Amino acid sequence: MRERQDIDQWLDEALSRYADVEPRPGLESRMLARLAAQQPAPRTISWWALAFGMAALAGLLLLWLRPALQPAPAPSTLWTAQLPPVPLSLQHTTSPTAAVRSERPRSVRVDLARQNAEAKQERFPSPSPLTEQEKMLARFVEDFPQKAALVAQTQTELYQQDQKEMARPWPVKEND
Amino acid sequence: MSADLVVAEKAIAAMQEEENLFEAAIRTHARMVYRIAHSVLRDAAEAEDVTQEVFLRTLRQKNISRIRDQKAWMARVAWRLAVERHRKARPSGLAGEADQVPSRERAADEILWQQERAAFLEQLIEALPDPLRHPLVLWTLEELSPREVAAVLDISEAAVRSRAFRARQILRERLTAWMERRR
Repeated sequence: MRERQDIDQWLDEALSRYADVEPRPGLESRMLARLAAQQPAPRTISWWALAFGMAALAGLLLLWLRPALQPAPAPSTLWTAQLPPVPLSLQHTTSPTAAVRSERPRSVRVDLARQNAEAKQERFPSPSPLTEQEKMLARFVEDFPQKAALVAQTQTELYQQDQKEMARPWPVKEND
Repeated sequence: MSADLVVAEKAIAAMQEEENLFEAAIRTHARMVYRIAHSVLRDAAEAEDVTQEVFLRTLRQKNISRIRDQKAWMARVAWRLAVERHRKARPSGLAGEADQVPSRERAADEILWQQERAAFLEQLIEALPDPLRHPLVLWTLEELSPREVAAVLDISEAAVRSRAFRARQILRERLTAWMERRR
């Protein structure tokens, strides 16, 4: 029994040597110093990266917002007022030969017109400024929209009339 | 731009707070981490290296403010790193070494006898299989409760107690046998 107690005591003493270990004084300070010595590069990089990142972000934001901040040019109402709608007589020809002839070119024309329209949309708003005449016309349309509409309608009718005249079959002389 | 500055200031404040938390963690847990490492490695320089490695890993891999239980997390990392280092340093197959320790010559006086006995006991503890030695040794650290030892070793608290008890039993038997051989 006595021996058992001694053995337990010796065991406790041996185990206490595992627990009662004290590091050299200043362990915490040494850890902080070593970690600070090992960490400066990544820390510095992260600070610089943060600064550069912020600058780049600000630049991108400015670039993105710049077009929106610029005043938009006046809309070109000239073309909408001047261009008449395409007359129906051009689209439906009575002559079969004319229909055959106009089939391919018309589709090509439509495609080209569509492409031009898309190209214009991509470039909108146009960077070139309006001429003086265009500005005056645009001002007229803005100030007197009803008169402008009447003028456009009159011109459209005249244009349609001209087209009808031109679309009529050419009168064949009896002599021919 | 003012919004960017606010974000930058917040980021800087968060980093400073993180640094303060990290420094506080070092001051609070460095000693415990060192003792855990030392209990496995039994070497002051190695234990200090492991302590440094624990905090370095904490700094690199974890956002310290997100660690729920810093003490348990660092204890676990310290124990794992120390065990890994111990395995590399000590080749396997030495588990039964203490049984083969040759009986030493009888010391003339009590001091020598105590030293010899202590050295032998240490060899006995080191020779214990890891599943028994780790609970026994970690339990002796006053910083860790049995519950925390269980969390570090990823076993139940009951298992910690039973393994520590079993380890003590083995040590007692081997020490008794050694003393009988010496008589």
